[in-house]
Amino acid sequence: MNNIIEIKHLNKNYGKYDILKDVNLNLDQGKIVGLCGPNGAGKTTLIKILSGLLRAYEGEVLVDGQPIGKNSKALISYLPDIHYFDDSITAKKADSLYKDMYADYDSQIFLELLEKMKLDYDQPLKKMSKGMKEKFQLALCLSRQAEIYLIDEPIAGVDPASRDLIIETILGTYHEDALIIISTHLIQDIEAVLDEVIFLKEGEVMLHENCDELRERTGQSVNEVFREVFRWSEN
Amino acid sequence: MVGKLIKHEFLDSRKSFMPVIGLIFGSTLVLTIFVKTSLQNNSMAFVNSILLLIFFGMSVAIAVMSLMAMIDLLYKSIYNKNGYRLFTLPVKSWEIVAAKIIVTFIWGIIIGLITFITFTIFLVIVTNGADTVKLIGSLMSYVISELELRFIAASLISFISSNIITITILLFVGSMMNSAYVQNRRGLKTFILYLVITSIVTRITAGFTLNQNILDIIFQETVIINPGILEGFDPLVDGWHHLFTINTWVDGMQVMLKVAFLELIISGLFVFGTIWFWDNKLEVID
Repeated sequence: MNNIIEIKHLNKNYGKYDILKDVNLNLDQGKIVGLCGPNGAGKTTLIKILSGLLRAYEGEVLVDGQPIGKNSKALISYLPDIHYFDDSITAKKADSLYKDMYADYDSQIFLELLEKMKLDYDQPLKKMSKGMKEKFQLALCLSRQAEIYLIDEPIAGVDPASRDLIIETILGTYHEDALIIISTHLIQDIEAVLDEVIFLKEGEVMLHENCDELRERTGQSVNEVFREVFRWSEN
Repeated sequence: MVGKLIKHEFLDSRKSFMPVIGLIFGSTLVLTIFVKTSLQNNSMAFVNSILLLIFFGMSVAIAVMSLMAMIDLLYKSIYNKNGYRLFTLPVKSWEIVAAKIIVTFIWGIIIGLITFITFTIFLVIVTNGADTVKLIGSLMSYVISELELRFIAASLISFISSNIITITILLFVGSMMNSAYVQNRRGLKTFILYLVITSIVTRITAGFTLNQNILDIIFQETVIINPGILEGFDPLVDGWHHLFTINTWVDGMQVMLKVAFLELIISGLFVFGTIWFWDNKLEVID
C-alpha cells in the first residue's frame, strides 16, 4: 500500500503554546485509523492541518505526495467537530453545493443516507436538533467517494444508540481503498473497527501501531492500553 | 470552478443583500406617499413629518445594511465557522478572491439598477406623466452625447478601480488578522487595520486629485440671469443644451486614469498579500 499521508517533523504552535511536537506519521490507504488522546492532545489541530484549515506550521505534510492545497482537498472528505453550516442551509442546497464543487460526490448516496437518518431534504438546519445536524454533516461527508476521510469526534456528545448508527453508517458507506482517520477519546466505542491506532499526548505521538499487534504484544485491549498510557482510572 | 464559486457565493449572499433591496423599494414607496400627500393636502403636516422621518431612517438603514452585507460577503462568510466550508473546497485561493470580487460587483450593479428603476418609477408616479420616462431617457442621451467616449471609459475604469481597492483592502486585512500572527479579537483588529490602511491609501490617491477638475456642468447664462425664461421650456422639444452644457477636462481625465492605475496596482498587491496569507499563515478557528 502507498503512504497516502506523510507527515515529517510537524510542529505547530498557537502563540507561545506548542500544540504538536515533532509529529512523524505515515498512513496507508485502506485502513481505519483511530486518532486517540485526551482533550487538548492536538487531535483536532492535526486534522485541521491535513484538511487545509491551518496553514502555518513547521515540517512537511504531504497528501498523495503533494503539499496541502487544491489537490489534497479534492481527496479529503472532512467532518469537523463543530456545526459549520449556516443555519439557513437545507439538504437540498448542500446537495447542490457538493455536486458543483466535488467531483467524487454522489448525490444518490446522500439521498439514501438522509432517508436512513430520517432527515428531510427541504428542512433548514435551524429547525434540526443537535443530533440531526451531526447526522446531516456526517451524511454529506460520507457521500463523497473520497480517498481520505477525516472524521473529528463523530461520537462525542451523542447517545449510545446514535453512536452505533454513526459507526455503522461510516463502515457501511466508505469504499475499502480509502483511509479513514477517526479522532476520538471514546476509544472503547470504536476499538472493534480500527486497524491502527495513534495515541497523541500533549502534541506528541506516543504510539502508532496495528491494533491486532498491539493487543498481542500487551495482552490488553486497545482501550486498556489507552487508559494506561494516559493514566486514566477505570470507572 | 470560479463560475461555480460565483454561483454559490451569490446564492449564499442573497440573505444579506435582499433586505437592502427591500428597503430601497420601501423607502421609495414612503417618499412617493410623502410627495403625493404634500402636494395634495397641506393639512397633513404631522403625517408628512413622520413619513419624512421614516424615509430618512430607511435611507440610513440602507447605508448601514449595505455596509453590513459587504462585511458579510468579504469577511464573515470567509472566517470562523464559515471557513470550515470555504477553505476545504478544492479550489485555489485566487479563485476564492476572484469569486468574492465578482460577486461584490454583481450586487453593486443589481442594487444600482434597482435604485435607478425605483427612482424612475417614483418620478413617473409623482409627476403623473408617462413623459417622465422620455424626459429621463432624453437627459441621459444628452449627457452621454456631451461626454466623449474616452471620458466615459475613463470614468468606468475609475469606478471599477475605486471599488476593487475597497474590496481588496478588506480581503487583505481579513486574511492578515485571521492568520497565525493574530490569536484573539480578530474582528476588532480587522476593523481598526481596515480604517488605518484605507486612510493611508486615500491620502496617497488624494495627492493626485487635488485641484483637478474632471468635468464642469455649465448652466446657460440666460437661465441663471433670468430663470423665468424656463417657463414653457420643454427639453424634449427645445433640447437640453438650452439649459446646460458639459465641459470635460483632459488633464483631469488623465489624473483620474493615473489614480485608477495606481489603485489597480495597490489592489494587485493586496490580492497577492491575501493569497499569500491564506496559503501560508491561515488559521481557521471557531
